[in-house]
Amino acid sequence: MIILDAKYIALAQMAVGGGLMGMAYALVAYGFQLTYAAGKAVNFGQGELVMLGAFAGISLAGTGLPYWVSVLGAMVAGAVLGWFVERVAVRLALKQHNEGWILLTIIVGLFALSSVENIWGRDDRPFPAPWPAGALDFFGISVTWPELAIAMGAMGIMTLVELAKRYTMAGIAVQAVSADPEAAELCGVRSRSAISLSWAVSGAAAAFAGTVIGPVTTVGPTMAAALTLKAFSVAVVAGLDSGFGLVIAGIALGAVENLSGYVLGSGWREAPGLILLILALALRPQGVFGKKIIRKV
Amino acid sequence: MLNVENLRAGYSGDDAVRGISLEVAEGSCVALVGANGAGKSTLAKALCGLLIPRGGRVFFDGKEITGLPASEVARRGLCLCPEGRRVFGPLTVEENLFLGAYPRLPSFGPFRRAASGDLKRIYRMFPRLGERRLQQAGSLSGGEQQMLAIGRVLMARPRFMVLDEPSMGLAPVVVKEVFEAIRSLHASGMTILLSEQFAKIALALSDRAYIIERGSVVLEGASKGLAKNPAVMAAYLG
Amino acid sequence: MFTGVDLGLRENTAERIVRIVLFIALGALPAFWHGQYALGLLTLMAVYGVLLIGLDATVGYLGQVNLAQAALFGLGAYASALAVQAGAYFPLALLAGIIAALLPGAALALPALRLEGPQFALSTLSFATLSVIVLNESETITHGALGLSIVRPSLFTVALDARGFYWLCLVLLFMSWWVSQILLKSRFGLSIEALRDSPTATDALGIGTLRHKVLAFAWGSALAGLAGALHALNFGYLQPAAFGYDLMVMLLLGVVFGGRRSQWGAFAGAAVVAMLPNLLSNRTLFSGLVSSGCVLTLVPILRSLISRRVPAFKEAAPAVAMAVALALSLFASNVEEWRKGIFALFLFAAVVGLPDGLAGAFASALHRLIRFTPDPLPPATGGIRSAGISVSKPLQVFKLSKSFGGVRAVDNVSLDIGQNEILGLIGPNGSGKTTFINVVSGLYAPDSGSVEIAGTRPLPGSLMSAFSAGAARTFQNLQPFSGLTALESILVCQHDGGKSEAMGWLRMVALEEKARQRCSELSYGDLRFLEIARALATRPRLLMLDEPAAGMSKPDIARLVDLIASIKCAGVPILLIEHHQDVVAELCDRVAVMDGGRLIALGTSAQVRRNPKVIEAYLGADEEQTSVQGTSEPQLC
Repeated sequence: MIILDAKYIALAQMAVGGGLMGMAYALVAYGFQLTYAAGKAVNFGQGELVMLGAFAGISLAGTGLPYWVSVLGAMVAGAVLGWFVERVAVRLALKQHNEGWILLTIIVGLFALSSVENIWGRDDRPFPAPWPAGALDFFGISVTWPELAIAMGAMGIMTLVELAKRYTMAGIAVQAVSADPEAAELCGVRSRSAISLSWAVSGAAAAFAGTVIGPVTTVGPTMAAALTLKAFSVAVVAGLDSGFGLVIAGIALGAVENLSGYVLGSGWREAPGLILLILALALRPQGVFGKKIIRKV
Repeated sequence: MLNVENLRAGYSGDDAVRGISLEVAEGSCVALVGANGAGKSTLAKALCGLLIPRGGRVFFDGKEITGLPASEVARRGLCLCPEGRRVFGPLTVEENLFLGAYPRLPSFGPFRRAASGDLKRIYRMFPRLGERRLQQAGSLSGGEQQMLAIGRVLMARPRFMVLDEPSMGLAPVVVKEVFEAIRSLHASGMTILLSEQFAKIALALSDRAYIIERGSVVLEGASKGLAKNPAVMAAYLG
Repeated sequence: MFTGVDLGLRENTAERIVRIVLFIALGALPAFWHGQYALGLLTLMAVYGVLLIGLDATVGYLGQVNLAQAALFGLGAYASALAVQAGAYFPLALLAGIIAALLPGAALALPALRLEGPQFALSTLSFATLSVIVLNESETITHGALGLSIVRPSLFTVALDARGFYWLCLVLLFMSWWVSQILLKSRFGLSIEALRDSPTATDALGIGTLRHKVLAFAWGSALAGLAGALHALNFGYLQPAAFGYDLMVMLLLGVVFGGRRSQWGAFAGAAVVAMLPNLLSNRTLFSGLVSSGCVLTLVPILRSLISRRVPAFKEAAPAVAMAVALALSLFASNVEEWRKGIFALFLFAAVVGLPDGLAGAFASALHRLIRFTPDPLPPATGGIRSAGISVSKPLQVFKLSKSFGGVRAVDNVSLDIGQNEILGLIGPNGSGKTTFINVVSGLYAPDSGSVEIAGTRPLPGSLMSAFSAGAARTFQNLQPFSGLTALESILVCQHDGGKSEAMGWLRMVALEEKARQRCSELSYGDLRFLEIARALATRPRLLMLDEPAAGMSKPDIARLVDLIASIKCAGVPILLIEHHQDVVAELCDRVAVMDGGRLIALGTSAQVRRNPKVIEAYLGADEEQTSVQGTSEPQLC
């Protein structure tokens, strides 16, 4: 085994830790892709959904329910909220073909934030999780159980949804609606229900992300805004309409973030990611892995 | 089986369909013939719920279906095979076909068995679809896509098929093949409303026809008689 | 029916009078309303007014979801504070603020050129987040989270007290308002609005997209910088956190609630944003206000219940939101804690229920009560004049091809149009006619082949370049400038000539009477004619009409035929795509027929009508007949 310089080990440690956290960004970004595919809209308040999911999980666990049950409960809450956002903030604006939905999803998120501040308080809280305390060691790089849970959980949910998209009629119908809503209607698919379903699944994924991020960081109202931006960056860089590349972009952003926090100072954590995002948008608006858009008249 | 009374419909601007009445009896094949821009596709969309009519009424099996959403109309057995085929490009041929049967398949359970009989029937009818069942629909040729679109409608076990411009953009040889398929469907008893710009071939296939010009019916009658009528030609090239 | 009181006043004059009265009243207020607290609020309102008038330029007029204004405000504030620290004079401090916001703000227009709604919103959000990080972390310069303190320098020799500073802010607000109004009502402002409604049409008609977007962002950001500088000089203490997400949401609230595309709206929004946090501290007053808002949102619900309809979502949702806000204002233990939530509810009710904001709702109510004397319209002059006869052919297309995926939409087509000719282009659906026009007009770049317009070869795939060569076009799917009036739609397209000439174009398409109507209120047929007038106003060397008669009624089609004939008489060559065969037969000197992307026939209308290939393309082959496809050369008649 090669013994590496301690400095490089520390950097690698940072990169791995960030990359694992980046899987959570990828999961939230995956939620963006789901709703964008179905109805060409995303929730600018998705970070608030993550936060609400985390708080719902904390409260459920606080009543003495086992961890897994509270995670499931949080996901149900997230699904209901995702559906709600689509219903009140997106449907009308999209029917009128305007971009009011961007404002409206920001607004609904703001209300959620305020509710959380008043119901659960402004302070950060720990998220109780039944993970063992120690860490696993891979060639000198340690990975804690909660970090591993993020990666496994994110991969698990994404795989599950992808399988459902392929192997259930509901999933195939959602894909059909995103390819051609009118033709899907002609097959008897109610495109509105398919869009609602995508938003519910997207909300559930966000809430799940909250319950796995919680044990690593802490849970508080401030986590929301930054998460939206990061997940959205991941989705846009990967391409809002393509599944491929999401995980890579998520891991890359998480790693870059941690490394720049380590090298430049914790306040600068997010800066390089944002610069990369702006560059990516400027150079390839359709996303690094996305398809080119043809302008239609 | 289908009764349309004084239907008016359009997108923006003037009505593209200006008060069309028509009737299709069970088991018959009726053609809508006219140049492009005459309003045939608008009529087809308004019948099937993709477009809310501005006036008039549509009855299917004696029940009014005017203004119902397309998914509801399809569930009642009136199925449109749309202009331009509109297959789901990113999905496989087989997934496209299963979607045709969507209303009667379980949303979250295993669904293959429930539709396997229909699937076999379609593959017998269009063997090339069977050969390409796992290929993406977007990668099929135009003719194959048209067959897939027809197959998708048949998966729904429709009682009434509306075919909108099945020949559009296809090479003549392929058009012939597609129309052969439509002819055999008709022979097996399917009720068909065929909207088609190629008058000759549509009139040869159908029992009765309506000639549409600028959103109105200008001529109607038995197809054989119309095929010899010079007014049909006038509807196209003035 | 009540049609309103006639004051014998023009709307502009009335608006100006009310605005001046407003500012005199605002200036006089400190004399009656004593106390530092009130003065502070008024100053804040004036500063926010400048900021929101700026934000309205991008969010309202340009229609881009710009989430960077709060950060630009912060950059302006910090720059002027740092300038003061470095010993700059008062005016220089203001200038520093303006420049610090203007430069990055103008750069934001660059992503706006290529990005659509959500992606653009994200790019501004990233910029905003990045700015706050930089302010926070450049501790040696900004002192980071600790904050930066300055002492306000004197204005030349006058040391400004709070009242003096308020008056200064008021003067600057007045000037920003005034200049914005002039700017946004000029051809520049009209172009920005046209750009919002249809960037494709503005490019095709030669109204530059880049220039106008950059200028709109520059102007909006300059105001943000000015407001920031005033803010810094007002408080004398800055912290980066104050310019983050919360402020941005407040600013959006202001613009949307006040009313987009209106300086009055921005001002009303500024008043709300400045006052609202302070209103929350007075619970009785606040719940009174919320209940009256609640009652207002009930009106549309009652109206629909009276006409026995179930209230639609956009009628019911604002009332629900306001009811929740009312419940919070009555029962929450600490209303100020719920500040963001209450903002959110207000904003929700405003976006859904009052799409035009307070100013819009007020203006439409006012127009019901008062009739203003309309601005006089100049007499119509001018007429069609071609841009001059050139030796070269107006259009020469050589072996043009364009594919999408595997489909050859245009396949090796060569065509030309002679001086003073109308060339008809017909063919079945999907035969490639519109793609052909799209390639010629520069919307798409061809895969191979060349296009020459009036002797010059435009850059492939550039609408602007094809326009400069002399091409103007209309669109099969209408591309109206919905926010502009008919007259304004012409004015933005004219590159010379004034209002009376624009009236001349309207007269030509018989829209003189409707000159003051907004395009969103015009009928479909009128819009089709207006598109032709718009294209003519650019004085093209080649006019391309894409299905001008589609969806038109019979009498309109007759008018259209006369119009096209008169355009030809004036010497403008025309490429005409049309489904109505009688129109084609009547107008076209030659007719080209496309099928499957290829040119299959070219000749006079009577000739192509007898051509068996054309008949086959339209009617289909006889069953017995074998395929004759495959020849690439058009059959010349």
